Amino acid sequence: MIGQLRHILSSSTNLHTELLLFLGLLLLVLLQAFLEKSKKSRQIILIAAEVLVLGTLCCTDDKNTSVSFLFNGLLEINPLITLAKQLVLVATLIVFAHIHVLKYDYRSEALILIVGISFGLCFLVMANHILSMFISMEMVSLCSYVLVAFRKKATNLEAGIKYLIFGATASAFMLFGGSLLFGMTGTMQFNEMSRLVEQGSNALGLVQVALFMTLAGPLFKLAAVPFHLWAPDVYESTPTPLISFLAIAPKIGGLFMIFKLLEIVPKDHSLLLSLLIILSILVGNFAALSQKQAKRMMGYSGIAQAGFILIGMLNSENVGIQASVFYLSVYVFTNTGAFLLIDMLKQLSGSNKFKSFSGLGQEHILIALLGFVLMVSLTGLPPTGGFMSKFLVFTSLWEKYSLNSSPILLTVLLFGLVNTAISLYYYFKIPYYMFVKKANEDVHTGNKPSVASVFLLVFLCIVVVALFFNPEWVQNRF
Amino acid sequence: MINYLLSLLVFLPLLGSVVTLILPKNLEKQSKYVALAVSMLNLLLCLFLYSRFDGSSSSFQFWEEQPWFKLNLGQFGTIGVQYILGVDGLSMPMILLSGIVLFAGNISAWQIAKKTKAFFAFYLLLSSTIYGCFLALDFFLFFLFFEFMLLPMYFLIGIWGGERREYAAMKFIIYTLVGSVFILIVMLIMGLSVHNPLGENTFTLDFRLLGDPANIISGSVLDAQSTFLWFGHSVRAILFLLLLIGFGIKLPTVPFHTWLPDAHVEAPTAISVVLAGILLKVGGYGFLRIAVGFFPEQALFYSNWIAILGVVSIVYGAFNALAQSDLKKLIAYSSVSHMGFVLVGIAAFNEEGFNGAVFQMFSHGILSSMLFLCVGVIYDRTHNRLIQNYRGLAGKMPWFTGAVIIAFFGSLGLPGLSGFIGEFFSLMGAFGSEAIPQYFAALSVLGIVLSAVYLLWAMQRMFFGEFWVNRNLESSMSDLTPREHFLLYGLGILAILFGVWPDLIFSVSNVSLSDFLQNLSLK
Repeated sequence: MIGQLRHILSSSTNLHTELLLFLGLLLLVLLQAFLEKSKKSRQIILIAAEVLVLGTLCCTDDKNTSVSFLFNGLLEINPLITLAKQLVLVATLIVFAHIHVLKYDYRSEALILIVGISFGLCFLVMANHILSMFISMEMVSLCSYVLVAFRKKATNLEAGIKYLIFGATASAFMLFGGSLLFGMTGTMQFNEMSRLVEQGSNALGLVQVALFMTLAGPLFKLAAVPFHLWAPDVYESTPTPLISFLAIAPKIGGLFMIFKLLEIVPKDHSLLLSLLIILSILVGNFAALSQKQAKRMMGYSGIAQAGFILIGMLNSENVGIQASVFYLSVYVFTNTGAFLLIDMLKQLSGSNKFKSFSGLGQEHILIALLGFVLMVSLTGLPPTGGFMSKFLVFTSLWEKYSLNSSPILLTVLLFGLVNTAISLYYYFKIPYYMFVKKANEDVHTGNKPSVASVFLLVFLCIVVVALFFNPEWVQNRF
Repeated sequence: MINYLLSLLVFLPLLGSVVTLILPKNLEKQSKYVALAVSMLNLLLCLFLYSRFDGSSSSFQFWEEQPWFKLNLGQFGTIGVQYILGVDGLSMPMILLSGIVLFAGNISAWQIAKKTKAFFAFYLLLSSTIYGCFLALDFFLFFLFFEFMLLPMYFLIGIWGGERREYAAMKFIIYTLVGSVFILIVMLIMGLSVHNPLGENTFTLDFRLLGDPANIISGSVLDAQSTFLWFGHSVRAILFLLLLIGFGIKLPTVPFHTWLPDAHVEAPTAISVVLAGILLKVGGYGFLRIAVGFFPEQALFYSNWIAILGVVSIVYGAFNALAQSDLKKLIAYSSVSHMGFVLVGIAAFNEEGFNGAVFQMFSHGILSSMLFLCVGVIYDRTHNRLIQNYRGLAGKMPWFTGAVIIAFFGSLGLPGLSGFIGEFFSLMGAFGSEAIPQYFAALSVLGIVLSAVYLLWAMQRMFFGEFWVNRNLESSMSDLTPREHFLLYGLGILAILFGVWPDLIFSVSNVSLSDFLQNLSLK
């Protein structure tokens, strides 16, 4: 009894990030309840939320933590997971900054929900147990559904329902798969499971089926094929700062779950994964090509990016997950930057359509150049972090290939690289319209974005470029 | 200071680009002076490097080396990327050419009236990447510059180009990006198959180490005894073919050339000059340095195919040029044709062939710049480039006609002009080659005949006979301005100079190239 209490106590010391977030969340709710509903009080809550996340981020720096299991194996913590938590918090912070600098006036519940999602995600990346995974996943999902359907417009509601239905289906699959796994191995802990599966491999086929069902949940979070159908609608109708968050943060949780789940069965999953990757890239890229609206394009391109993130998973060694995490780290800055850019362009031109961006590059050269940097990084060209992340995932893929020389891996490599070239076409639409197309005067509303928003964009671009020249910044963290 | 000359060459334009960008709006006109000053300084630097270059040594000179970053690939090892710059007999002529052509392009860009600041910022950025590409001796660094070259080019064509500029810019960037993706694949694989003998468990992208088969990790895909196959072909062969396509797009060789006429026709004169004068040479340079340098057996094995690509480019390009009614398109296709000699020279796999290929690249750089400037002269005056709209220009514009005569005759390979030397040595290499059959060389000669036909025919139609110009353009048909005089005759003098004194290039390139060839055959 005493021993168990000690274990719980020592485990809790590793949870200061989550505890801080939780206390902060309570405070925010209280604050919201006691302040009157005015624009000013909403500003106060926004600033309080920013301070909370920033403070938590500063406290989340335990480099020395070696691998350890908390709460009898319910959660796992290691430097890579700490980095994932930091990424979640950074994404949250950038999105709050985004809301702040563009002077959005959201109801404070939305802000609290965002904090709630990052709280859930911090647990999700640590999960080492079917239950902890399910609960944190639902925490993230439920908050996201509400966030998507927040504005009471028909399109929002439709997107929210779509999101909810797909999410619920994915959850059901995941829960069913998880219970099968439990039934077959007699444990709910991932690391225990992998040990048991290794020992008695008589029902390996069935374990694999169960595993793939369980993968539905994380794949949904990642917006990878075949759980991608919600993405374009949700991206299009959700307010930009919120979707900027939903486009990146759940991907971090999803990736870590996939990594954990794949480790359960020591067999080679490359065939299935390759298929998922190729389909995600194919569907995302080719649907993005014909889009006329920037946010919808980002929705499809997010599906393709999910495919690229998964490439690291093909390599079961650590280098694979590290490459994927590096990819995510760059993606956090690039993608949030891209959404900020689109939002600023919308302020300038009054619409998200590519056409309305025409000629903006001439009037707002700095914003346009920064946007160009971000698009170059999303495409994966040097000298940006995007290139380095593609370089790393393909390197990890090549390493795997040079060990087992399976032709499917080489196919993924070639396919991915060729699709990088294709993605250039749609990412370049934004700079193309800004610089090359002639302006159509009557459309521009001339709402100049604030100086602070330009600064935020500059900061994000600097990080994106700096990650090309100093990839060690992320690499040294794990 | 002398230790950092190469970095200066690369970063001076970059600095100039930043300075141009931050110039206040009322000083926008001054941006061309900034650009001119930078281009001139760079040209002087190139000349200085050329004068100090020791042609009797085949080693890399003006060496600069700095560790850049290391990527940890887990238990697999680490990959070290270095900042290495250096010049040898292969890159020195290219550097000299870049200095000359970028300077000329800069002067010819003076009349750009639209968004001058941005134009020169992009132009200087482009210059920076070009120098970087020729100087880099680390594959990663090379690739960085190679790929980054596309972005300023995209805007230079897309914003300042002609009517169909958007289409041309997109086509240009997609074609060349696909090419560089192929090169990226090779870089990835080479980087992970070659280990640095000095570092424990370290991979390298250093050109010197990549070229040495002793450093290839045994059992890796690059190993000569490797059993890695892709649909029955060895991976080494596939990598070589990927490089052939990647650099072939840039060169450009038939059938990957279709972006070139579009890009040339739509680009503003200065950019056409840079495109034809230097960017195409990056393809030839990269092919020789990387594809042939690192995969010599495959290059020798496929030399017949390389030669065929070269011969087809020569003949097909020439026939296409013959059919054009737009002068600029004619010259664009003639570029395809003339760059074919570079491939034929390389495929010959002997000293004459390699020297001829390098000289042909240099000479084509000078002559094609001149040709595009000539088109620019006409286009500036009339905004029209159709050959049938002009007749008898010689009487009205004698100085211009003189310049065109030099450029055309140089281009069709008249002895005494630089074009002759390049084609002559490429063909001599091809005739004396053990790698390719001689009828390839004989077929290439057909290209020279055809180029005489299309150039002289165009000349006869446009410049001789009674003066006549379509519509009311007569008044605008004035002879060269001092700036054009300087540009065209400056380049013309160079074409003659290098034609009668080819040793200016050969004395630099010969030792390096024969050593290069010897190293290849030793393997």
